[in-house]
Amino acid sequence: MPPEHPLSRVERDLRVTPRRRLELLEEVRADAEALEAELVRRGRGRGPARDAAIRQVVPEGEALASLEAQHAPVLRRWAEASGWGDRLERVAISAVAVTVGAFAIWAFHWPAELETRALLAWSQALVVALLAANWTQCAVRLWVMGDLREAERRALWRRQIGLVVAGVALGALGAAWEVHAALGDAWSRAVAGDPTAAPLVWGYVKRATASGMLGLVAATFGLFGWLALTPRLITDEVIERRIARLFTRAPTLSVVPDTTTKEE
Amino acid sequence: MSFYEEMGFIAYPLTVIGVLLVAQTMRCIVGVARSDAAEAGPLRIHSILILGVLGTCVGLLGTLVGVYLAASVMASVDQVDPQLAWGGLKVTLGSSIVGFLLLGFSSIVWLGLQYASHQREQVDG
Repeated sequence: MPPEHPLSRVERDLRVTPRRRLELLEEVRADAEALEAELVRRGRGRGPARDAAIRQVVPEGEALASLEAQHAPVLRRWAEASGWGDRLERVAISAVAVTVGAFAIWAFHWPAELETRALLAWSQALVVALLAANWTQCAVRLWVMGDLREAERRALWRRQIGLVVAGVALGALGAAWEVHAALGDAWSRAVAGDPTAAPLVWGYVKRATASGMLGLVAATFGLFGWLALTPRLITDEVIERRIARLFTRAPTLSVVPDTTTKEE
Repeated sequence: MSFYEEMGFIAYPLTVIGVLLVAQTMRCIVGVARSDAAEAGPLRIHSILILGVLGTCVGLLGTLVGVYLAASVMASVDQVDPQLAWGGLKVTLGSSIVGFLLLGFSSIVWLGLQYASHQREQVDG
């Protein structure tokens, strides 16, 4: 297993935006290189000079916390100063979930009595609310906290796509239920030659399409929400790649067996 | 009335999705050709597929809205001319056709870009 880069711990622990993280890492690396060069100029071997430079320049503990506080996004600083830091995400998620859930129910005028189609509609409203909550969590991490790591990003994406699929599945289930009911009721009347059957069949068609529409609205909402986050996610991904490249192409701070010290 | 006009209001979001899809595709193709990670990163390539799926959802939604409106009218009258009813249903399928076209295009582009970026990564080591 290759030795850990001296700056990788800083990269891991520093919870600021990837752009600020890259800038800070580049600054620390430049400082460490300058100090190492100075110590070498004063007659120390490259190995001890590098170790001393890393010890002196690479921030740890309180220095890291102070750097993080200094470079935190404005919204996060405001949230922490006003005491909303811990609660903001939960409150935002609850507010969006309740609003969207209430809107979803209101918009489609589903019956309030407990029957199958009402249960399906309530499940759909729950899916939309969960989609909104997931999106809010992602947005708060990106724009308020400023730091959404790849593992968390993947987890949120999986949840989002799972909910989109659940929305479509519930919509299709609702539509299938309506068709099932139509075949049992209106179709038998139509076959028997009842003249009132045709409007009844169209009524069932209307309800089946409404159920399908609910599912597709949930899916569209989830996908469109994720697309709105994509530009920022792409920017972060590009910067994270640059950070990874910084670690692989930083020979001074990459801990490699030092030959010059032995020669001295 | 042209095919585009027949789709009604749903034609506008579908057009926006189509334009975004073409723009993202061009950026990714240029990025892969130049081995530019910023332009052809995995997230940007995946966004092409997301746009395709979104197009399909919007297209199907347009069809369902059309069928819903048609069914609302038909449920309230006693007699419906079958030619009129099926003609209306045919029109509602237009947005689904466009949606599935967007999905087909995006999935082919996505597969091609996945393959090309994988090849590039192997060449770059």
